[in-house]
Amino acid sequence: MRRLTVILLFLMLLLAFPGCQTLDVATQMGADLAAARGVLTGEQAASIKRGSQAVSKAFEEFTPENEYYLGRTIAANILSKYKVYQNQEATGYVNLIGQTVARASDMPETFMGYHVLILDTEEINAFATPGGFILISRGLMRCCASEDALAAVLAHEVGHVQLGHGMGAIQAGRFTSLGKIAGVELAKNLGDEQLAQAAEIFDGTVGDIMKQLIDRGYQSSQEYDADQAAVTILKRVGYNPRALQDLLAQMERRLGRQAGGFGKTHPAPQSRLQNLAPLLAGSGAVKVPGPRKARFDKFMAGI
Amino acid sequence: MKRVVIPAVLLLLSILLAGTAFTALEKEMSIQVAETQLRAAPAYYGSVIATVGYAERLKIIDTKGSWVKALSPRTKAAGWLHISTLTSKKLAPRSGRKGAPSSVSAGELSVAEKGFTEQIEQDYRQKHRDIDFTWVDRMEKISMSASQSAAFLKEGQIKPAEGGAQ
Repeated sequence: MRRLTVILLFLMLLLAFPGCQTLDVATQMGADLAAARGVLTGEQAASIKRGSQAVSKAFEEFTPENEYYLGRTIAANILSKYKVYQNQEATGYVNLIGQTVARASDMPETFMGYHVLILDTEEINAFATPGGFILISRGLMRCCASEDALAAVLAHEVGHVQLGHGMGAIQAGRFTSLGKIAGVELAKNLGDEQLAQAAEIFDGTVGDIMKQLIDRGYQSSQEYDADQAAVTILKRVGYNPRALQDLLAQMERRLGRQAGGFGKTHPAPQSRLQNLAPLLAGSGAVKVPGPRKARFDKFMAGI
Repeated sequence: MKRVVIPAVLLLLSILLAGTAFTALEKEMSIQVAETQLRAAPAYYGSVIATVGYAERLKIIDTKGSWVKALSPRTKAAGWLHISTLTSKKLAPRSGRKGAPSSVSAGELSVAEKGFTEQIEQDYRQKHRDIDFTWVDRMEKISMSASQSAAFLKEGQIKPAEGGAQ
């Protein structure tokens, strides 16, 4: 009887606090309950996944539409630093892979969707902006031995978007400044003066994220989290996640020769490999069927 | 004793679960992406029943994993969509576009929400003439449908792992 009381008390507690506290418990309570709770806690769950306080502040304040406009401007800034590799077939191919892996992520849809462009540079690098604009260099594509490896790079970038890492780079002060713009609560749209103030803050926010993407890079832990998200995504789609390991090993060999770019903004591939190892226990060596290899070779010919 | 306890717990559990589901049933949420589809099944391969747009309010009917079944009063259609496309916030229709009517009042919008929009991008572009948006506009047009994805996976002999796309 005591057991029944305990179970009842537990259930009541569970239902009384639909917030994040019970999230782990709910997962264990079976699919039905978790599903019923999904509507109520989906956003909270996403917010928890996004981690740091700064990120959840950004998540609270900004809608996907705001992320999209930030992402567009950041992508335009990066695309002003690099030339675009103009090959329609290869661009179509990376978009098919990128948009397919994105669909299997925990954030399959952004405001205007995920899109990929190839940067015409030897530099080994890739960028993902808020909203899902992904830029990958020819140099990094050359490190990919298979379509599975290319999918791993793109899944890693989708991981950064899904986890809100770019938005996390926004300085807390920007929110305070936005809050100080006078009179905004009265009007649906911003007046001229308010617009000028907001524009200045937008400029600063773009700067915050650019600094992170180009100069500082994400924290090592964020890179590991994006790797982990990539492994999950690859498994869901049916690509071999061990391709990510192969790719990192290949990058380790090639990065030595390169200053700047990826090497400057990412933790050493060696440390990422160590973090990755436990996640790949169940996966065998990468074996690519003929048709997949054939299309990879075809589209990579000019890269 | 056990014989009584187990059915009693199950009964209570089902009552409580029904209660939770009922709360979910009553809930309304807004579309937070520019456009998305209501599908016949809780997956991207589910056929499209209707298209819904930004700020539209939907009535939640059911959930399954990361998928939500909802009714769009505007189209009178019900179907499944991914939870990431929804927010419990009320959103204002996009400025200068024909959006779904919204009952949101100005006070309910955050400053950021009003601030970082198309208007700000125009302002930014005026001030930063060296930043070229041409390729951003072009890349945005590259869109692969769910059926193109499916064909691509099939051609590459890529078989979804257990559970498939979420």
